Amino acid sequence: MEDFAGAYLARKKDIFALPNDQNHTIAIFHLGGIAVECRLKSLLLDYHKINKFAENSNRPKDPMYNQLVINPGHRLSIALKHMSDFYKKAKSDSQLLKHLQTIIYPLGSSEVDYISLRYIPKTTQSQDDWQ
Amino acid sequence: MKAAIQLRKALNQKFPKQFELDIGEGGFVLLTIISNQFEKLTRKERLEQVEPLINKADLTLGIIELYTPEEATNESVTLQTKDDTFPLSWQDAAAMLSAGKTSFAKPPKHPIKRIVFYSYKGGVGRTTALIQTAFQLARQGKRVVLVDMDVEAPGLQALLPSIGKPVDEGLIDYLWERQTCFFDEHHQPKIELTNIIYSIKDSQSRRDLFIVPAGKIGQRYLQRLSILSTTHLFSETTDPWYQFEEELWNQYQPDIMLIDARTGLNEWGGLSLLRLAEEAFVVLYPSQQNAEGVCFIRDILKELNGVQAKLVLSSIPEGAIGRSLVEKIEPYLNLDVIISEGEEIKEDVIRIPYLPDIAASYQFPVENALTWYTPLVNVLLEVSGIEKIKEVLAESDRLELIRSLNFPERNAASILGTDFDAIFQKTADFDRCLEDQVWVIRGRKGTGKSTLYTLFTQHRENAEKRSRGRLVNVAIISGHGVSNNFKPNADVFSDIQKKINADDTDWLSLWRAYAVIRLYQSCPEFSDIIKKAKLSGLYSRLQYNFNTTEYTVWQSKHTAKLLEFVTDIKLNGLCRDAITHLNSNLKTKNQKIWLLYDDLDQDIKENTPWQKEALGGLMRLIYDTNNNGLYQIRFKVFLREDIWSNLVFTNKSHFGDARTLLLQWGTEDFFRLAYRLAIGGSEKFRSLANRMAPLVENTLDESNEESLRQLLSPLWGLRRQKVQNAYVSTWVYSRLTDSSGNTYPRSLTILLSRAKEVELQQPQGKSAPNDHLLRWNSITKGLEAASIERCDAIKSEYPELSEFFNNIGDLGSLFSEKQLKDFWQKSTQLHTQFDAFDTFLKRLKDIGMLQDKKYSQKYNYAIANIYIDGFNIRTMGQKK
Repeated sequence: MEDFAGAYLARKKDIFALPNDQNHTIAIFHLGGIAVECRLKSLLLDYHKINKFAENSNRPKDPMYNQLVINPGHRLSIALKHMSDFYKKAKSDSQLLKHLQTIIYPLGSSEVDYISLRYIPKTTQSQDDWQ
Repeated sequence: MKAAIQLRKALNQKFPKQFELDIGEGGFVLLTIISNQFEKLTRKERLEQVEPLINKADLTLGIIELYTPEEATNESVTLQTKDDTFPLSWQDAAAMLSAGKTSFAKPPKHPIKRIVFYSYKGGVGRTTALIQTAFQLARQGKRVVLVDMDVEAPGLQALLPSIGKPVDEGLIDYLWERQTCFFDEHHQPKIELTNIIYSIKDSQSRRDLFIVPAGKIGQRYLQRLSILSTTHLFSETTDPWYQFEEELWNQYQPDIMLIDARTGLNEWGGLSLLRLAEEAFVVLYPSQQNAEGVCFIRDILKELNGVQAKLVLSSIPEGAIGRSLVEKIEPYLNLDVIISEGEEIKEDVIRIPYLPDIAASYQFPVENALTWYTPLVNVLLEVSGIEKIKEVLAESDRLELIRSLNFPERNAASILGTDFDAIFQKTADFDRCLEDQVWVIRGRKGTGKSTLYTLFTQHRENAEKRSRGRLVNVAIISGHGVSNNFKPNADVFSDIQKKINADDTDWLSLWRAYAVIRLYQSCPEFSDIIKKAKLSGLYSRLQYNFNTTEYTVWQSKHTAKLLEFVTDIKLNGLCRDAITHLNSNLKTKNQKIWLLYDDLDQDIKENTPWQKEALGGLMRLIYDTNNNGLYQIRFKVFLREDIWSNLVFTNKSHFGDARTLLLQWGTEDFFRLAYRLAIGGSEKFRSLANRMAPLVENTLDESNEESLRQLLSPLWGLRRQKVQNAYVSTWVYSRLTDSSGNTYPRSLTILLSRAKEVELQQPQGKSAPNDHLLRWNSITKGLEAASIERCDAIKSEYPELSEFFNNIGDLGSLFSEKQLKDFWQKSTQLHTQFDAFDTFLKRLKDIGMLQDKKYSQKYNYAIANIYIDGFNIRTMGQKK
């Protein structure tokens, strides 16, 4: 069974273990996205008080109560949307939204997302914004 | 908000039903699209299709996820495009609004109408308004249930007459049990609807009102309230609230549910307004403190749910203080203003003053304060009236109904004869017309003067029907007019004039002699009276020359004899004596005679120097008769308004408002006529109307403007499209009225016939209105036809103005005095007809063409509405 909370901590460590230079930017972006994804997924399970995906939400007073909580995959926005209270907070925080966008599309919004960029050998994109 | 709506629209066009959009703080767009338009495109190319739309709407590019259907399946991406999402809190609502979403309410399964009373702050009289409204609705025959949803401060039942036992459980307990407890065949709900509802009786109407309190305050109540999840009370059709409504309907069948909502911007207030309100009243005290919140709430309700909440300003202090408070607050309430006909129509705000009776009362209803709340009741009755029409129309064949409408042009004979009961509409003036003191009945052509004359002289039995006994002991004789064939015509009067002029005698004597002849011919006792009084010279002449068996047509010898009565001093005196004797005789029998004069505008030649003398003579005879105490003989002269206004004679000042009557079709008369025309022409429409308002036909003349508008709403609708504060009926009336306030019954017939024709050519599918027969478009077309007819009529009525009528189009609908003066100067006809500009101007005003524009700086005059279409006048600054 997946351990999203553990994976999140491990990926975070991985990122900091990488030398902080332009050569490893892609790896940092990629792993960073995955770290956030793991964090969100672990939060999502906690939020709905379930142990694994494809279970019904146990969070009373939530619009998803008694509905199936599916695995959002790499889609961070879906993970967030499925936590209605968090999503509402996120929506009212423009800074957070901006960061989320940078994490999903580290190379800019017209480029591929943090998953697909693993097929890109090199980038000149600065890490400043991302951090 | 507008940006979001714009973006949503654009996306809907490009990617219909293929996207999910949300918008965060700072216009941050969260968008997912699944479309095969992205096939074989890179992310960059895909984004190029979307980015311009976002930029155009002035929003920020946020998290944009663009998939092809195949990719979406692989990554199990689905869209949430459910249309029936509902806001469950103010926050949701505001968020939905900023994301450009609207709420789609599914109509409830039961016909109970939910009305929410809300106030932003407490203590403003919300619950009072609710209770006062409820009692009035009950008295109007509605079954009303009052629901206390002010759950955090319940207490509705405390204001109502007590039923003796305390409330033990309420709505919250009912909802709580159904949400949290487990049921199966062994465990059935313990809190039944009957446990939480009770009824009180209105002592006046003896009708029941049903009350659902929130619950009994205490630990149990608070516990249950805190456990209740508001999210799952209203979302699914199986949720507890709907169980409550369904049961309510099955057991009590109320028409209207009045909900007392929680104040402020919290969950329960939000829920009841956003989720339940089909109509809403927002009650507020006129202070700045309320304005902002109220505007926010009204905006959300209107944009999201399409509910236009009515504002109720409550507890307004008396006098100048209150007035100034209202004036100060109004600009902050964002009231809807619509410009129509060049005028601003502002949204109505219901105003309720501070009422000491209410403040001092601890039990409701407060009878003597009820009328202040009638506007609320009217809003609701209006709504339920329309619902009823929809219901009835849905069961009928719309096209067949329209086809059955029939508005034939009726002449006076048929109106007064066979169709009298169905069609004849007495105006508010009718009763005044019966008064002895009214001597001259003025009116423009087409306002029904001749109809009244004929009614009294030829259809006495019908006249009595509408006169409430006031014609008892009154004999009505035609002094001059179509009812007697034996009469001098225009030519004869011309001859008479010459003789009178040559002999220097008097028109007064002529009219008296003519009256004596008419009395002799129509009133058998008159012969005896003359004989008895030994007025033999007069009697033999009357008998010899004017007996009705021998003479049916006026001949030259009659002219000669009539003139002899005038020029011969002795005979003239005998005529005077005859009248005096007749009067004394009538007095002893307590009887009266009316002499009615019509057609004088034709038979006394117009625009001749002697017209004024002739008519003036008749007026002096009337005045003299009265002055000499001959009260049993009364004259009534039907005269065209413009002739009257130009008439000059001694003692005209005595013919003030008490002596003359200006016939006019007021708003109510006009509405009644429209209703009579509609039901009188079509049996089908009549039965439809009777289902809506039974027995109204008998009391039509007593109905007020408001109920008349309601009665007419199945015909042409109640309120104008897009202009919520303007009524169709009122609009039609104003468009058919000229600048002197005259409306012509004939115009209405023409309008309705044309509107029917046009309506039959219109598509009858979904676009057809479901609550009335003749749609707006058809009515406007009908209006054009009515205007054209009016223009033709006025053209033939006033040939001396033909050049004005023919070129009026160039002038436009609004103009300055200088423009009009130039127009007059250029036209040779007008120039010769009217030697001074002021005479010309007065003439135009007299005939109802021109309207003063007092408040406009640029223009002094406007052409009356009714003439705009027919003369093809360019409209300026006025919306049609």
